[in-house]
Amino acid sequence: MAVVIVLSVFLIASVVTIVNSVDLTVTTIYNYTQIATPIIPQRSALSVDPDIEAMVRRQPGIDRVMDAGAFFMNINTVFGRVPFICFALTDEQRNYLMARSGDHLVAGRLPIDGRPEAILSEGLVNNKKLKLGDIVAGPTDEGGISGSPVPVKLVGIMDGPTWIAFTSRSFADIALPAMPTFLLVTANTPGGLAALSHSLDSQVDHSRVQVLSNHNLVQQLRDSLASMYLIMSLVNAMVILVVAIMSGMLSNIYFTQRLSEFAVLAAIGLKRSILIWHAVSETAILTAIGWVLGIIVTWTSLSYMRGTVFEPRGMLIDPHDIIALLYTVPIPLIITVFAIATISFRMSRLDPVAIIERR
Amino acid sequence: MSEPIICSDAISLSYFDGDRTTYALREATIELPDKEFIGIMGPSGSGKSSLLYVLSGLKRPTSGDLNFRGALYSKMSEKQITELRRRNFGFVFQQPWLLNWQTALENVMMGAPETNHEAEDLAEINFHRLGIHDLRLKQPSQLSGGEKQRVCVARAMMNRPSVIFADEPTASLDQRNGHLVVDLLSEYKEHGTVVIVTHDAGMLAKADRVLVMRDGAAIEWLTPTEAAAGKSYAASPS
Repeated sequence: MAVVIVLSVFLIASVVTIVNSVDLTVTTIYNYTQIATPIIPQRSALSVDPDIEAMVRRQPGIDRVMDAGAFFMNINTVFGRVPFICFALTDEQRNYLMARSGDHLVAGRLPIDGRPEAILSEGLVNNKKLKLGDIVAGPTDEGGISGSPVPVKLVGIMDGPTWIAFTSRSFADIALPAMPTFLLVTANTPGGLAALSHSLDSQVDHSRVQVLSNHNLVQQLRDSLASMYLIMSLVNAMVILVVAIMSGMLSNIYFTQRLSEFAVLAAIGLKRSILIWHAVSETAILTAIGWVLGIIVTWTSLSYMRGTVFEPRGMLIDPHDIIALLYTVPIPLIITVFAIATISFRMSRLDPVAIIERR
Repeated sequence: MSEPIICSDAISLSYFDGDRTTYALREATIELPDKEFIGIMGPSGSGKSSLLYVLSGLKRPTSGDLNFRGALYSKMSEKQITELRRRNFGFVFQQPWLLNWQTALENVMMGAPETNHEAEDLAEINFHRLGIHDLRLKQPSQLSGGEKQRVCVARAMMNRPSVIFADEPTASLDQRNGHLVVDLLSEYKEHGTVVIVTHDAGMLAKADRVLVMRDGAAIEWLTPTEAAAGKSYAASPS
């Protein structure tokens, strides 16, 4: 039975982890918006109007308002290829944001002003399967807003918690003159950015600018995927229910196979309450061991598959997903409850003589 | 004859089989004396095992009553009857029922009312007495049928019972092992009463008395020699 529990836990935790990869992808690719909030011009404007910029700069709680350029490169995700922004900033601005995001250079060098060069976080490098010297984006890139009129070379790799990419501002000014510039806003404290973004979003004229706050981006994407989340949650719930009931029934069969043992113990004078406690605690220990082994098997397998199966396909997964672990908790609980109910019922009707005489 | 330890008064055990009542026991009135080796014999379906189950409290009679040292079974709750078995009776069944996932020693310890040093010492003594000391740490699957049954006998002695009930304990054993098990049980009469149900009169050579059952009724008491000679039982229709 322990093997069944291990497999059940592995099945559910894997399904939930893979389902959660959608949300993990969303939060990972937009994680940079927890460091700085872009405010982008709408329609065909090439920059944010001065009056709006002035209003933004007057906001309390602002640390910096940076004028930024950008180009987009394709990354692989569970949704397919999507554009990811590469910020075009001055050296000083880039160093400031790198310090804020906790990313630091671990290989190569920083981009030289005016050259078609970029540095990327290690997560992005792995996602695009790049190495130093490879092309990050170029004129042949597919996708509406992706690409650069000249090939941009990877010259440095950053290590850190945030997926982020930088090129020099002068390169953007030279090579991407038609690309709109935008504002990058940071708060006095990283924790204050959400409130600041919310405040800005409520004040700006949305027909002229859009505030790409982390909340807006993540929420918009989650809203657009709401039906898929619902379907996946239903699938999860059904899998959990079926596996838990099946496991509960298996525990019942397991108990039935051992009914003769309990009959003998009852015959020699062990109280039924002790026998029930004995059977239930045995089931509980067995399911607990099965659950722990299941979690270990899941974590080990998913950690291995993350590098070999998922990440090469653009699927971000967290092998140690706590939510997935929580989804598996009903398995040992339902099995134990099922065992308590069925064993108590059968034990109350146990006729030791009938069982002993049967063989 | 010593003071009776269990007395039954016209106990019957019947089952409803459709519109018909089948009697496994018919108004059996018997007294089991203390510290005697009692055999119960009779043809198949004569009520031997039923009598043993009722005397030991494993089944309740449908009529009549019985008592253990004066305490009426009918006045006892299911818990009290269970406690009576736990404290005062030992059991050996036809099949050597042991818990396969426990060692022989752990199985024997299941028969002790409490797990303490005294019980562990008694288990050691029983293993020595029954000649299975070397087997105490083996699993039941590693034991032969005779060895398993001796472990069952050791378990039955763990609560120093007033009565050991053995329901055809030799049925699944060969002659040699059968005699060995019965000899071991018969030695217990120094401490308490031993009741053995068997088809084989040859197993009861050391019995003090043999009760003959027929059609659910206790017919008569015989000596082992009379039982072995086939008196009454052999002459009765099966």
